[in-house]
Amino acid sequence: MKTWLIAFALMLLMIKPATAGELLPYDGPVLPDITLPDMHGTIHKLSDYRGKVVLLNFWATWCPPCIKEMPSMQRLEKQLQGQDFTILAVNMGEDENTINAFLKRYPVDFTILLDKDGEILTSWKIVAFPTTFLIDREGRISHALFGGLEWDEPGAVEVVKSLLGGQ
Amino acid sequence: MHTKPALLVLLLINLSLLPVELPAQGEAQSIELASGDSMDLRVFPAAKSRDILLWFPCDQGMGTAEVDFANELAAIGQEVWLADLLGMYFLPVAPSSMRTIKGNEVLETVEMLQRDDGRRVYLVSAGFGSIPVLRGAHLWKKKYAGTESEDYIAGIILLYPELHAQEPKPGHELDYLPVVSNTSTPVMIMQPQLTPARFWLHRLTALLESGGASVQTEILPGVRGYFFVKQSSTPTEDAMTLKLPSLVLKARDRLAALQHNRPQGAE
Repeated sequence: MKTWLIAFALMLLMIKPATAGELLPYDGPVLPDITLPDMHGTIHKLSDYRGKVVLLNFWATWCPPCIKEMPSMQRLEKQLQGQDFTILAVNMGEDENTINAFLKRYPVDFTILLDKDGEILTSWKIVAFPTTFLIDREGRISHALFGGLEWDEPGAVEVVKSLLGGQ
Repeated sequence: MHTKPALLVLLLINLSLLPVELPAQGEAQSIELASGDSMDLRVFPAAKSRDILLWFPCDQGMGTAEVDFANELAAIGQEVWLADLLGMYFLPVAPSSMRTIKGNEVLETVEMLQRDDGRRVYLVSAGFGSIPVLRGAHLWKKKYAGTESEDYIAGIILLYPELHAQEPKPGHELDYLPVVSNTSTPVMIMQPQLTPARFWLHRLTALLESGGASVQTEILPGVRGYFFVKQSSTPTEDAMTLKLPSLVLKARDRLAALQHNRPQGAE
């Protein structure tokens, strides 16, 4: 009986929460450049960030795992302040009022881009939120994941730092 | 001085003794399948109902929401049969479970309804429950093509259908199951607005139409996928859940109108 209980407890420990993702090397096709406005109307082009490591995140205010991981993205950006690292968080199909109300509750200062018609969502084959891509200095997608992550945990930080190289 | 609290206590005791009205669980039925398996069904009868909604719960399994919908629909005159596919095979509550169900269970249940009842059938499901439902409808069409029974399944109502063949990978095209482009029964999709799938609805619609299905879609504003089984539902989702039985009936009517308006001799 005791053995069964231990086995059951171990099984429970092995079950990952549905929202937790795993940052894996990217094995998909090359995806198109992104041109989107931010919350102030300034246009951002992904290819203009060449030379920097980019954390490109697709999210929405109604997505609990997106909300959960955002503070850790903010902490990661702070941790890597002064290095060639930036976060671009593409919001899916929501208006500025909804996003502003969200940012009052969950203040972050990285760049939020607006994909109102889902044009980038479809060209980047996004089927789940959050989805995140790590892009190296040469503009190549290095790693990707579906689901949320604690971005300032050692494993994730190590991957980002390896992309930054010996800065 | 002490009478008021005593009265209050008495009142509370009396209230706790009042019978609590639980939702009716439906009449229990079961069907023996050709495989030897037995599937439990719950029937929510409505004698004057013109047709039957045969409802297969989603990959979250048979829940109270489906029973509530069935009770409400029966109360307004629509007969509903609930079929527990996951329970029959003791399958875990998971999307992958639904991919293993071949659809003959759906086919055989519809055959039983045609034989024993005769009223036309609309299939209903949600999420990954859409997989066995489409497979069953496809098996029906294959078996009864060119016969009077061909259109006995009058339509399929799908809430936030999940029809991809395997777990998606970032950057890769979503791979739909072959049954999607082999479906020719009319389909009505009710897609929540707050889900990335709404941006892929045009692709799913085109694939379904490529198999000959007439497809209608409706976006459900302000709600997420699985909204009626979510523990952390929002007030908008709770309101949509309350409206769902009437939305399903509207969907049924739209599918019925399609059949009615079909030109004579059309495939």
